[in-house]
Amino acid sequence: MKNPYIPYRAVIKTIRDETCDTRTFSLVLQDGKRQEEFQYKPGQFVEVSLLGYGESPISLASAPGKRGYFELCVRRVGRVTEALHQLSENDIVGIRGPFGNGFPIEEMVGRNLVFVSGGLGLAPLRSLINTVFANRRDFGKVTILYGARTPDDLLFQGELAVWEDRNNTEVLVTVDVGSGYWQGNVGVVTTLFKKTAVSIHNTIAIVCGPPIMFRFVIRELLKIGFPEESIILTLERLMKCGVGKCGHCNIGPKYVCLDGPVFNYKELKDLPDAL
Amino acid sequence: MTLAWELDRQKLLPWLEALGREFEVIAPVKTHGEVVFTSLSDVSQVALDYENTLVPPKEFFLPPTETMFSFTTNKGGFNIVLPEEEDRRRVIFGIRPCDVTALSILDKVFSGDQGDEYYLSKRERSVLVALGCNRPAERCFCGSVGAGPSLSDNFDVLLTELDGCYFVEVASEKGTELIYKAPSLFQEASEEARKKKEGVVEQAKKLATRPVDPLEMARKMEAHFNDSRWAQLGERCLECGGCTYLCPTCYCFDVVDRVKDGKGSRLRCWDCCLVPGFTRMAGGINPRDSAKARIKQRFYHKWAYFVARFGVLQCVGCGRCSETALCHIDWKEVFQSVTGEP
Repeated sequence: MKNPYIPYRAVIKTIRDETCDTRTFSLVLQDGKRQEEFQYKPGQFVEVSLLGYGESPISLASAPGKRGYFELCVRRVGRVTEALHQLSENDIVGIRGPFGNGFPIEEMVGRNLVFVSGGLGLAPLRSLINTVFANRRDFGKVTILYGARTPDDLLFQGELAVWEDRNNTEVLVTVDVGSGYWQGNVGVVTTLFKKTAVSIHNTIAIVCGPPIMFRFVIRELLKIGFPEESIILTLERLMKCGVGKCGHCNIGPKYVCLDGPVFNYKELKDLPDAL
Repeated sequence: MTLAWELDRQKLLPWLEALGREFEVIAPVKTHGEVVFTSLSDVSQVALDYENTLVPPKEFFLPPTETMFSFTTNKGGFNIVLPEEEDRRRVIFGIRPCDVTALSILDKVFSGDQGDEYYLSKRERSVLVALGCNRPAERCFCGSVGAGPSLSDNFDVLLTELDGCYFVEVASEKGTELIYKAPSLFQEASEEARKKKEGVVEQAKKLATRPVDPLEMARKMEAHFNDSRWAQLGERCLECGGCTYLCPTCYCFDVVDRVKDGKGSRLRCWDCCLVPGFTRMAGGINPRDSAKARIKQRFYHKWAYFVARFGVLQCVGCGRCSETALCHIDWKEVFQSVTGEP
């Protein structure tokens, strides 16, 4: 029987600084055959092992494809991520997964998509956004609303510009606190709803960010008239095993690692301590 | 009808001795006034007059601390070495029906597509010789949750004490094997003994049954999710983790790395949903950040969420949590408060 707790060696191919505390790592599983078989969906996650430090669940930030690598966007915030940030290109980490359900892309085909993200919440959405753009004709209008704490905390800045240039696409960015050179919006992400007309017709909203943002964004989306099933959320939880055994990510009868991390609002709204 | 034998009381120890030649025999032993499961070095150590062991035999399947693998790290990455799983087969003798049922509940968690080989291999090499409870203790409510005081399945061998002998039932090949290790000690059970056994079990059932239908109770719990009572229970909870430690069906674990003298191991250790850090993420956000929310998690997980997921209650009515844990948060009290029934 395959032991689901054993991490596989992955080589760090490139490291890109996103902000002062967040980096994007591109990784390749050392065993070529394993890398080839490493198939994932946007919204899934891996467990990253820094042996001696521990393991953390990190969402896949790249779009699945045949490029032969995958990307993780990681903020330096705890023991494991601090250790990861100390590593250089060609260093080795442990990877288990992919785990979780991923976004329901089939249900999104033919629909308009509104992405609402705060801070690092853009990382899992980026996997889906780039998948959508890789199959642009399958989807309707794409609206991306993104908020960060300060202009220096904005992730994937180059890509934001690229996304903006795609046809039938709108990208709106805001920061909680501006700075000298910042010419853009200031205010929390929900203020962006006033800057654009989000149509609820044939539209799915995909939301990821810190818990406080979830609460306000959901309230806003419901106010505009989004049906509960059309609000898709992806949750962050402490997870140890990724395979529904360790109990940490349990919410009501659901396990975030198995049944999530992607849920629609209807599934979550009555579950305790979910949002 | 299961196969059945009779075993004279004075032939019990000779049987255990015969088993000990081939198996590790783990049985209740009295130490410092408490009865705990211990690997026997001498079969005369075995305790036979106990209500239940202080701690369930969960630790023999999910140890409090277990090495998942050891590792070395170097410039070229890391190497992982799996622990050598002991292969000696073992008999868990004297396990009570509630604790047998608890293992069948843990099986649901640890098997499946992503099977947990650490747990499953220990289950595979263990044979359960259960001892039915003729005199359930006051704390017990196994009869109300269908986990005791006797068993109809999940055991390998089931002993029920009758006058001067044990009524012995076998429900698996593993169980049959134990009988055939010393077949001369057993005699085929008489119809009279079978009837006697049924009488004993009926009697015990009355003692172990509270006026509560567990599934009805689970349904009623749903309507009481926002009851103010939960906040009071939360205030009483000391977050000591005693109830989860003693619970035969609590299985949550933490995973930590330890490095000593350049050698590392990844360990898993029992964890507890009542401790604030159980859900706290790096960066400090904690989705379940009140004692009230945590105590609800423990109760609803056992009585509602687990039922929704696996179709069975995650409680076997052993009563250890209410009797032994420091804060004495008693199931019966919760029942009464939630259902409004005396």
